[in-house]
Amino acid sequence: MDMQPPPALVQVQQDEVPPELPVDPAPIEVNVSKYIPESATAVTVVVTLTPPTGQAVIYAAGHEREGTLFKGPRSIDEVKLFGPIIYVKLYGAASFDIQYTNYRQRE
Amino acid sequence: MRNKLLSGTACAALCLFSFSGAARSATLDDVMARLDKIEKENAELRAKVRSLSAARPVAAAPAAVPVDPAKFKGNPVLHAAVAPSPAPPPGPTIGGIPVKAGPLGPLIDNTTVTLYGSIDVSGDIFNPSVFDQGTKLGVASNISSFGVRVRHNLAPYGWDGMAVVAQLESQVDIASFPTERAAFGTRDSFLGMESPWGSIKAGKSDTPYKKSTAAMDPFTRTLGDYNSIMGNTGGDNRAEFDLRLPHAIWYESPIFSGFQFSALFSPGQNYAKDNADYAYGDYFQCTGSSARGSGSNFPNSSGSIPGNIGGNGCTDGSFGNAYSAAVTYKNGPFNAIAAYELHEGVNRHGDDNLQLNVNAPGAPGPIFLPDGTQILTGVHNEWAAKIGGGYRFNDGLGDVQLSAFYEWIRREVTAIEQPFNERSRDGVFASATQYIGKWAISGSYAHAFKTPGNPACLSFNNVNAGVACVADGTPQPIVQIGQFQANRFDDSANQYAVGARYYFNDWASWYVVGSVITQGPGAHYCLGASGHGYQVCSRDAGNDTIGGATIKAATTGMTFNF
Repeated sequence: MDMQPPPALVQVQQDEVPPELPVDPAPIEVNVSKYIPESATAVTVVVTLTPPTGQAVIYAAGHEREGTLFKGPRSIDEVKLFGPIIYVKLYGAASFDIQYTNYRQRE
Repeated sequence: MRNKLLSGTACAALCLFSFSGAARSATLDDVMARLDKIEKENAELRAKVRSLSAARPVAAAPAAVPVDPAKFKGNPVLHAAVAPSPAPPPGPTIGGIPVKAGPLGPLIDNTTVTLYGSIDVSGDIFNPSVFDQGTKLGVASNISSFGVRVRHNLAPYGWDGMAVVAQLESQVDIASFPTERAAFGTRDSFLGMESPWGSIKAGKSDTPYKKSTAAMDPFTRTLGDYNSIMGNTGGDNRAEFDLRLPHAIWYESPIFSGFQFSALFSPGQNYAKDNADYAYGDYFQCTGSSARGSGSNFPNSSGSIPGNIGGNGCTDGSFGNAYSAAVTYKNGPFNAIAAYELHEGVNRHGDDNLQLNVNAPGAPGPIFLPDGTQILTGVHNEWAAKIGGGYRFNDGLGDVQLSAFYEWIRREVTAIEQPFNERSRDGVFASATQYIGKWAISGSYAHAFKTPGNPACLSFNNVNAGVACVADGTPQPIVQIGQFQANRFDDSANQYAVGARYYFNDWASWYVVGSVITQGPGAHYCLGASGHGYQVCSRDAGNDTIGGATIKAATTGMTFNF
């Protein structure tokens, strides 16, 4: 007579530690208002990433889903603005440099 | 013996039965206990997993690390710890197509296509104080637009930090009958290249001169738009120095420590030496005028004459080469601008009627004012320059933005032409906006100083407005029955505007604006020039221009930007 409990339950019982979840990088806050007008609706930036295989997502506060992806080593693109604060998330990059090249205002 | 064997067997069977019953009872209890324990543990684990799953975004996004930009020289903003994730999360998709920030996903590799637009519709009430006009209601579409912006990243092809950019933008007259002035590409449209050393673009664009102070006007697009006076040389419904120039090429520098420089060149490419014709590539549209508007020479538009190329009908401000440049500076709460624009060979023979027309010889002839002087306006350069600045601070209620600039506008005429020169004057503008939560409350003031002269007679504000000046070359009374010689009277003007705007969110707002313009008898400024869906001018039903009318308007509308 088999007196063992069902294997599936035993398996769950043994897995005390939940699987490790992937970690999202900490967003780095950047205030663009020093050089970019408060009325700007978008800023064009050149982003340089180190190491060059890294990537960065830059987005306005509260608009992460509208972020812009920058790939290393250096790329240019536009970031929508909804206020003076933008956030930078680095993926595989240790550091970054932002150069403002232009901005756009509504007529 | 047999009985013993039977009884022994029975005893063994009974014992076995009784033992097995006891054993079964003990096993079931254990199992039940284990099952209970497992169920409890399972429930605890399930609860843990759920709580971890629910808390994952919060746990995964630690507090942002502020970076003080003051620590760094120039533009660089930098530095972060190594991020552990191997790649950014996949973006949202629509129908399997990647979508980036509202823009459509790549149609071509490394290309972002963005659809965007701006809608501004208002309801207006206005009174030009003209004897046969009264108070009117109106609905206007105010510089509503729709566009497609494309950015093709060249970095993957070995051109680090560079991109090809293109834009196709159209005016959308959602409140008026459709015309070709709202055709695709009527607004800023271009193809160009962006790089860390700046951008070069070609096509059509608002001039650097125009863009340098655009943000200072809290009532742009409305009947309180500052272009009623600022950048407006003639004091009518067209702002000559608030232009979108066609067939142009321009450069925009990167931002160095808050400074940015931009310059634009638009070749005249005119068929006529005196710029009296259309530019190559333009048809029924004189340079310097709005589509179908005053001075465009579009068939049956105001002042137009018959003829296509060779008709020499561009005599109301058409010019040749145009140059525009601006330097802007921003450092924290302080900003400053300096801008300059030159229009070469501006043809104003429409005022003196001396345009030579090879196709209609003998047609032109001199025009005299009541005092006996012959009007001379000719073809001359016109330029404008402005300097200004702004400051932003917090007064406890919220941010306050102050802005002001001073403008010089000149038409380089000879001394004999000065009495007819209404294109040279100074102007000044100031505005203030108080932000309180989602509200912005603004006020502005613009002043046009006197000009040296005027080439026309203006009408009195009465039923005789259509009775023209008597002017046959001999001195006459400068004030006559229906009209008067404008260059004998003050033509300075003041514009006042107040308003409020409520921001529902980052995309939608509602506004209300009131504006009034007061002017000397020799002036004829309008409200809503170069911004609103239409202009409110001091014209009577016969299109006679009433001099010195006080024009009042109020407008309320909504904007939605995407």
